[in-house]
Amino acid sequence: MKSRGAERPEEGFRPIHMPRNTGAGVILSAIAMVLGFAMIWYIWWLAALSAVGLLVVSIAHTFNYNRDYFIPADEVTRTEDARTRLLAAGGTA
Amino acid sequence: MSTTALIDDPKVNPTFYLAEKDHHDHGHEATGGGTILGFWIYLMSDALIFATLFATYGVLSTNFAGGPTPHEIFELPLVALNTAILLVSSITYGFAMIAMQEGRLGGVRLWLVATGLLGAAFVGIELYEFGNLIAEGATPQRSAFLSAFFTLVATHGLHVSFGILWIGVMLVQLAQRGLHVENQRRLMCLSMFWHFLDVVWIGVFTFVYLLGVLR
Repeated sequence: MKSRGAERPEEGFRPIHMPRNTGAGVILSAIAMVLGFAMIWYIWWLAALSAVGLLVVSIAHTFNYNRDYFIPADEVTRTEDARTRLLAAGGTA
Repeated sequence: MSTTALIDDPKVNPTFYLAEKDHHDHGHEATGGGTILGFWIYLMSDALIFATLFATYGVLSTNFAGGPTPHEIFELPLVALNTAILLVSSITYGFAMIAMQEGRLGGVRLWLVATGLLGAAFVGIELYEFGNLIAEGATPQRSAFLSAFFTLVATHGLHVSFGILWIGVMLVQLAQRGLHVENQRRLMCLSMFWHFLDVVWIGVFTFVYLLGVLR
């Protein structure tokens, strides 16, 4: 990029679309691991329980509609300006 | 620095980031396209599962092991009824989508309920058919043909059952939030899922039941 003359943009920043934090993925994979363990060792009651758990957790997760947010443009500008000043002051990073 | 000038001649002065069009209106609209693409990828990988099961059935469909043949155990009138039910359920889902586009929440819920009931009838008849087969001794353990048959048809039936569960969840979420943008996107995904199952059933109906009885 540098050799082809990439320039660091210093203006014209837009809001950044971000996902909110959620534990759903980690929780689902943990239950899936229990399901796998139960299936391997023929622990049918645990397999059934974790299968139902997977369904319940994933359906419950769909009731969460508040999943994304925007980093406002002025915050992006502020962050980037701070970095611009840092670079101008001779920072290396 | 003029970004548009850079875009005009990427060879002379390439940009290293996506130059977005100005459509940021701080809503959730921007998230839709990715979900639909992801759902297509899911549907196509699901299609691969069915392709595998169809191939397995194709290989094993004449391995009767001295057991019953398709001609002896398949009841075409029942299967024809099931096919009709599933096809009509696709139409009723289509009506739900039309109602969604016109913003009629009541219509969406009514047609979703109709679709769900038709789906439940389909699964019910399929379970009745399976019950009859097992009562006659045509169990999955009887022959390779029956193993492949039960795996293929029950996988489809399980998909329909999950579709019915999804319709139920959708009805609750519609009651809570109405035709929210996210709900519209979910209805769109559910629509693709439901029609996809219909298409797979056409394959099952043709290759398992019709060809099975003809042979």
